[in-house]
Amino acid sequence: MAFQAKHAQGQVIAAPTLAELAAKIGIDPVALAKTIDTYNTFVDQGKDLQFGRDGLSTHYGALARIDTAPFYAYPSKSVIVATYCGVSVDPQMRVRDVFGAIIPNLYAAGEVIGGLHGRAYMTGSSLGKASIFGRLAGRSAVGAVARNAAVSA
Amino acid sequence: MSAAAIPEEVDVLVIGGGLAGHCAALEAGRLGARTLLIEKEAKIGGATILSGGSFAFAGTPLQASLGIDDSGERLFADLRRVGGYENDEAIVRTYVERQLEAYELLAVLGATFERVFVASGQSVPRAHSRNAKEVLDIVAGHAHRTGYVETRLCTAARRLLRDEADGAVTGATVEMGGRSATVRARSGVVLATGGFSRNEQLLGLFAPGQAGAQRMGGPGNTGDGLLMAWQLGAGFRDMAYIKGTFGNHPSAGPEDHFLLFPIYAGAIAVNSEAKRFVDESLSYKLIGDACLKQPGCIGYQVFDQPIFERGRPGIPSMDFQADLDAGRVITAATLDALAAKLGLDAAQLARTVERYNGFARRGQDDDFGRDGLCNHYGSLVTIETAPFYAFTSRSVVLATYCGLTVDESTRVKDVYGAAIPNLFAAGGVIGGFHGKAYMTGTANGKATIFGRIAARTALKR
Repeated sequence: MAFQAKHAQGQVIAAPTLAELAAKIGIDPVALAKTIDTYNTFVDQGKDLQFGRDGLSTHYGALARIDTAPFYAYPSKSVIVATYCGVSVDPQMRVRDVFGAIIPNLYAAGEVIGGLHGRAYMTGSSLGKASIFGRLAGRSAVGAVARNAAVSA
Repeated sequence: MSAAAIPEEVDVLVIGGGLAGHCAALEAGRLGARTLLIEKEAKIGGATILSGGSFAFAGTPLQASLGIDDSGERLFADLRRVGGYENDEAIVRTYVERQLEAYELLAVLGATFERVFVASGQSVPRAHSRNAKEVLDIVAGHAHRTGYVETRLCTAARRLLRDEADGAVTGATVEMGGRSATVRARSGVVLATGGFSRNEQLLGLFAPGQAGAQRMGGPGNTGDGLLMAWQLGAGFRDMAYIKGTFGNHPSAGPEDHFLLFPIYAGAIAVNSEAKRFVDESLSYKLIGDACLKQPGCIGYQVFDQPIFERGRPGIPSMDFQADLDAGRVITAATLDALAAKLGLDAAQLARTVERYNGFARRGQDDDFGRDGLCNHYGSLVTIETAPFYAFTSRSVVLATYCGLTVDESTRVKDVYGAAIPNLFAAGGVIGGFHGKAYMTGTANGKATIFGRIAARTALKR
């Protein structure tokens, strides 16, 4: 969310008018003006009739008009930043085989596990799950050490 | 020992009683190896007997007698292109090198072919057609007559067994009628369990985008072999290319075969807005993807009397008359009346057909680039002579066309590429042959060819 820094690096592009912004990024200025106009109408009505956007992020925050110069653009592509899927584990982070059986003494945590995210990702849950499930995996392994020691003794 | 008791030890254990399993069993039996074939269902056949009975062979005497110029090299080029060059060149090459031998073997056994037609992915007519159940029964009969092959129905494999020291597969635990048993296989296990088009969990895992497609397959096509090999660390291939096949009638159930391809005789495909949405000469799998993006995931193949007359009686997927008799092909005296019957906008359908007819006359489709009836083969024809016909079509996941990584000798490879000793796979359970898309006739073709190779590899012959 460091817009200023990205602007300083030249990645966020700025222009005093929408038309000049369109020219700088190489898109049709008339279409851009129309798109912004339509969107601003939706903001005023409090209802996005085109895509149903009802907040800034996941229903949170009120929509805001885009009408005050200067204008900015950030060229964006899609990038696979992580895979958010992987091996099946139980809540103790014990890895399960394809038939659901526990693979003895094998634990997994963090990005290598599947099952937390499902179809989509919530920001912060990667680091969260690394912290939470890393600890759980450690505890499970220690538990196994203790159990193994008890068996040996 | 009663006749129904399951042998405790054999040379080769074949899991799955479709065409691949039976070709493996036949070959093993001919080589004098004691072979047990187990089938989970109450009858043999699997996905084979649901298939259209096409075998993709190239350069056959039948093609030559019909003046069709085909060759192994042409088949190889088509297979690689259809597969988007994502298929395994060595496996494709093996199919090409061994396909005439398979054709000749089937002929010697009595499974001769009298019809050949052009179908999806083929640049010349090479779909050799015959009732698939007849072919299967012929192969199964010969397998049993070797005297070395036993079959057990209602017998499911549950887990593969492995030697702890060297990792070699030594057999499987099986279950019949609620009882468990262990079968040891001295020379190895052949997985011929087919695909997983009847396993919603696996489809959800590998092909969530196909949720809008129908499912078809033998009731046993639940991916048992894939799962058992997965447990041993087998690799997968082509999983991302699971696609439905366009051309299935919405009334079809999971074990019905209501596929019809008037598009490959000249029909167009329109969506529920009566607009074309795809180059209809593409692989029916690519059209399937396009269909899933249309409203309601539904399309309509629209054609006229001369195209109707191009139907091929006796070839299920091209027998327009049979589907007319069954009430699945709809007919009307005018395009307007046809649109009314289908619930389509008549004015839009008229515009769509008129525009397409212009393309057909010029030989150039400005909208979708269709340049032939099927895979660049055949000239476009107009749709203008009454009566008119339509076949309502959805996309159906017929088979999964992906699966275990194998080498060209059918050895199953683990995720790092190392062979899992004494584990072999053939037919619908393997990946790597099709790549991105499927050519008609190659499922039966690869079942025959690689089933035989699996037995030979297991027996080191």
